[in-house]
Amino acid sequence: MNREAKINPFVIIRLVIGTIFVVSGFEKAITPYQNFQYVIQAYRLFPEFAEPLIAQIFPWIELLTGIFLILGLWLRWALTVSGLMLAGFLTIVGQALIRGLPIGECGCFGSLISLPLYGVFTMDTILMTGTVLAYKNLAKTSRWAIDGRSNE
Amino acid sequence: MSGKSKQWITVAVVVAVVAVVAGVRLYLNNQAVNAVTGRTKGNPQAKVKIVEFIDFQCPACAQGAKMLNARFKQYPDQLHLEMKYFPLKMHAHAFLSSRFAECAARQQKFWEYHDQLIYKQKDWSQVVNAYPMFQQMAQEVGVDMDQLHGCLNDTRVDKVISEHQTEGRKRGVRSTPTYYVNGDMVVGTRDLDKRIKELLEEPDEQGGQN
Repeated sequence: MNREAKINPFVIIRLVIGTIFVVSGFEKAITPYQNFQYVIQAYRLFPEFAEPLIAQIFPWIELLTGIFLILGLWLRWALTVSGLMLAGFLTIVGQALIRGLPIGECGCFGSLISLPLYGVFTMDTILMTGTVLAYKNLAKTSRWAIDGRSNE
Repeated sequence: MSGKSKQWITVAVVVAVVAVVAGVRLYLNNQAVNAVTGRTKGNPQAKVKIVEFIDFQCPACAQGAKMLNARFKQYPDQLHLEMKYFPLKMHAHAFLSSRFAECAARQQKFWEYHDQLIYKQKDWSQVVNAYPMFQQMAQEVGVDMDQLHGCLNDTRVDKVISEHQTEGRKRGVRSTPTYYVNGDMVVGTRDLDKRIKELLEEPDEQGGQN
């Protein structure tokens, strides 16, 4: 069997993480930013002036990172940004859990999916693990990717 | 593939993403409607005009309503409020409370009933069947009970609530309380209070302070 045709778990990891970021970023990017700003406020972590900026910029970073991961474009950078975002999510959600903030659901996917904080913490931990594995095996992750083709 | 090609692909991807998001946003904005009649109070010529999408069972909405009542006492001529229903599925009594409120509105008792729902929210939101409490509150504000029962069976009441929900969704409402202050979207009570104060402290067109 052709080596390229074998199931490559790192490519699947890349596509799953990319799709999650695209869905999450797109939903936030097409709706008024004030909705996401309200979600950010609930975590009581950022200064007031920064909240609208984060609410307007972050969905675009999430969306573009997801698309770059799916396409396999600038993969090393996309995985780095993915890892940084997930580390940020784990910190933000983790501090909310420790402080016992009254947050019913994470607000991560806008109005599409409702996840409790423990659920999203678990999901982010799995995605973080996937990102680290994909980064450590960059050559395998780069199969079926625009980056991979550029190295051929 | 050359490095230059990769850069062009990157630019094309970013442009395509921005175009798609902008197109969807434009489509959603064009879907917004303003035809549904709301429940209003305050001065129609007020400097600050607020449209609120409310879920009567949402704790933040109760907090926001109490804050707005205080601001109406403080600035009675400078505020105007229009209420629209946005009951969320996660709240068991949200839709029924909206139906009672709409029926109270038909008897010109909307705001009295609104206050009952808000100030007694903790009591009725915890019971399994809130219907008797809603009836009792209606009686307390002087709603005609025969008319009320007829109204609760009227499917047009549900239609009004659904129209408000549809309008809200088309305007981008995802959670409650969501406000439109002079047309600008504000989500949550803290930012609403801040926005009201900012607008009322702005010098008016004649150069004076309000």
